[in-house]
Amino acid sequence: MLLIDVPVGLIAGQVIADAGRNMIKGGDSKNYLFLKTMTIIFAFCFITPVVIYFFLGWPAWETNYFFSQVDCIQNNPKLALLSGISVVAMALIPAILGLESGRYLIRRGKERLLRASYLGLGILILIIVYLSKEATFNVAAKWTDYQMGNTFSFFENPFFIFWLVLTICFWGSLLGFFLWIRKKDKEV
Amino acid sequence: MVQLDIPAAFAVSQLFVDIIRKRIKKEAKESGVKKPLIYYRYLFYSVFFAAMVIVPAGLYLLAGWPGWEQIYWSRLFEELIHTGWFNPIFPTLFVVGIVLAAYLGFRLAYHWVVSGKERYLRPTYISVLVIAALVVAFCYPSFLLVGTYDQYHNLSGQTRESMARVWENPFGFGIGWTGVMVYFTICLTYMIVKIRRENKE
Repeated sequence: MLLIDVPVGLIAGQVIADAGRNMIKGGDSKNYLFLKTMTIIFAFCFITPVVIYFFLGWPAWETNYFFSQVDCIQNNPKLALLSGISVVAMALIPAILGLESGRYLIRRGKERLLRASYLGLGILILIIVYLSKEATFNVAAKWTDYQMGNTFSFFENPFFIFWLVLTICFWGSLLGFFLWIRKKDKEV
Repeated sequence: MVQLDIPAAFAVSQLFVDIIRKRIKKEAKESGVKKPLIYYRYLFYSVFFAAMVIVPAGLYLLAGWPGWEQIYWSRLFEELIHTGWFNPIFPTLFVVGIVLAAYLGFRLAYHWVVSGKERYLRPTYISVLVIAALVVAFCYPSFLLVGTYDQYHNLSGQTRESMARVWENPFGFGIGWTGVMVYFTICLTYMIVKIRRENKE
């Protein structure tokens, strides 16, 4: 969902920075380029697909029912352009910002603050979900459906199963990336 | 077009390596390591170009004109809302496919350059683009018509005759497509000039 995609991107970038902490401390531009490239690959292989999947299938739910315009993107050049740019920006910019902020903190020896930052963002996600539980747990593909009360439960299948699969896939791959980069980082 | 965007990402990555191949060979030899700095720099350029240029352009056309963007091969791209969990998988795979094609294109090109097989490089990416263009050309006149899958295939009481031509700018399509092409050309030209300049340094 729109409100949690940005913190998720920030977490991904910061976790990748934390995994490559020795690479960042070493100051070698090769290692930094490696981390930056891995962040982009992660953003586009694991964050963007989740955003696109839900944005195209359940656009109103994915945007927290903030915009009625999501009901009519097809054949609308301005809205299509905005959607294309937003979906990319929502995944890439927070991930890069997460990496840069992580790099900044590591270079100043504040690794504990970095870990507190991404754990804090995780807690922020839970708070956002709690505060927007009405929109989160009542799913409608279109804004007009939501306004008319034509919703189904978040826990209804197959929606829930697919959400669960994508969520496990995302966090599992982030863990995989963390362990893989950590292994390379120890060799530095 | 879906049929062109994924091969384009692959070919552009290989083109970047082709431009800088002499320097890659030199630096790979001098560094003595498997993956020197130049490997990561050009992997970054390849993936970043795909992510910032080809993905947004493809997504824009897919969101606005899903039928045209995949030249009416499937109805699945048009019916994403209220059709369950299956249909939205396809645009998702399209985006992942673009980034993976850029990554694989680079990896293959780099491998050929450092192992002295760069003669395969140019024929490969030119062939990939020619095959992709032929696939699109064989689907004539789909790329000249803007409408829906049902219209193109004369289904559900709709006819191909009712489709608009691309030059008629239906629903702002002509302007949108021109904008995408201008964006792509500017970005590609910038990258080629930048890499050529780096090659001379």
